[in-house]
Amino acid sequence: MSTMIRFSITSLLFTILLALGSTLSYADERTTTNRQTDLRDAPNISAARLTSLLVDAEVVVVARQSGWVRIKAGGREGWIPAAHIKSQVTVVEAAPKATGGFLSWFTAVLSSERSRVSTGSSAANRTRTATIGIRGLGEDGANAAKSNSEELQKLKLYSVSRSDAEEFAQNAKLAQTSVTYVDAGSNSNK
Amino acid sequence: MTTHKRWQHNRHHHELQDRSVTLMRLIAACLWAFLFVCVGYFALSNASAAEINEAREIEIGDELAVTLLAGGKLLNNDRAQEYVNQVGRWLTTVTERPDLPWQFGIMDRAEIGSYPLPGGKVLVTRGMLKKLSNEAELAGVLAHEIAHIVQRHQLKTMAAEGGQEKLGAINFPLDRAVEFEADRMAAVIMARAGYDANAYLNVLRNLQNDRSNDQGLSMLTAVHPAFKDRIAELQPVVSNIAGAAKGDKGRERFAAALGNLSGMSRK
Repeated sequence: MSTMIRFSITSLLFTILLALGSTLSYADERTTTNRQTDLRDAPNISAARLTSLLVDAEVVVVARQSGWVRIKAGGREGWIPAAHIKSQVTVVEAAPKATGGFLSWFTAVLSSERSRVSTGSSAANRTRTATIGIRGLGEDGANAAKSNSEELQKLKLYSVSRSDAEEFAQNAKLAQTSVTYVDAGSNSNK
Repeated sequence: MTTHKRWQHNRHHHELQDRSVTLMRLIAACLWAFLFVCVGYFALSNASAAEINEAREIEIGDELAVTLLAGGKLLNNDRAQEYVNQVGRWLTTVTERPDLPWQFGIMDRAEIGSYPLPGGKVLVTRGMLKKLSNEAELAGVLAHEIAHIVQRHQLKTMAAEGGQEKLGAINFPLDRAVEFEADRMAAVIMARAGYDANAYLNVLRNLQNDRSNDQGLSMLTAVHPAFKDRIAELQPVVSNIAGAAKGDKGRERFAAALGNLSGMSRK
């Protein structure tokens, strides 16, 4: 039951952050792509493709919106899915511009920590590495996001090849037969 | 307080507690599903299914998998994970999309659920496996999800309905016709792969008869047509093709790989 409660709370936070994510504006973050991806001129998959980014390309995140991030890379600016950047980021400038409300609490927590770090140094030097998965959730949220992409890697590792599956079927004496799909409302084969 | 009264009092207390546990689980399941749909919506917004090529389809599946796995990690049991992949991957070889990067995973969650993700990923919960008792039944559940992926049902549904209106909907409720199609295809895929399609009817019947009031089951029924209707639709199809494969149900292989977490222990 306690797992359930914890999970409810996590779900709620994720959902709220997803829904309200676009109302926040953050300091620039430096990170890299975690795969090859297309840079697009708007935050949706049917938007025009500006260029293609290679895996490990250096990018600066300038905004986030609904599962997408607006980034600068190689002199161009555009949108890529948020899942396509690494969650390990460097906060270049610590200046949260949260627009109040429920989320300001999160940013307040983050900014108080950052201001201690940045006191007395120039903007250029005000860098600090932070692990931030979904901004506002802090280190815990970041660790969760990191472990989730680890889960995806694990899922890929568990997969078996076609030939391995065929070998499994052979050992299990599962014989392939030829059957055609059946239409709706018909009791006979196509 | 007499013994009798105390007993009554305790019983009342337990009922209240049970109810709050169920409610809590239901809320968790709903939130989880809502989150899943949100990400699905954002990933798919403003795109038509035809515009989404296979590479993008696989990417969408990756993104959804990350979200889904935030709500329940993969079960830490290599043998069980490998086995589900062997069965699932074998089924895919007899479909029209045998060379997608198919990946199957058991999520360590108690509710009954299975989720197809675009591009070749299928996630089933530990709770679902507990309701199964042999490999043919597992094949039925996986084949249903494989059919959705082969037919790109989610992409088509999201694109056709424009995304926006789907935001409030839960867990990609697909059209009834699409669910029936996936059921019919599942029976055929099973038969092609050497399994008895009757086992899939069995799964639907068992879930229909399940009175455990599982919060995951209520999620499942919320997004699928009633089991009664699915069974009625599927029955003639299975009768027609079952002769094609009256094979081994793989009870021993299933028990060896999943016995410690499946319903086998109850039998």
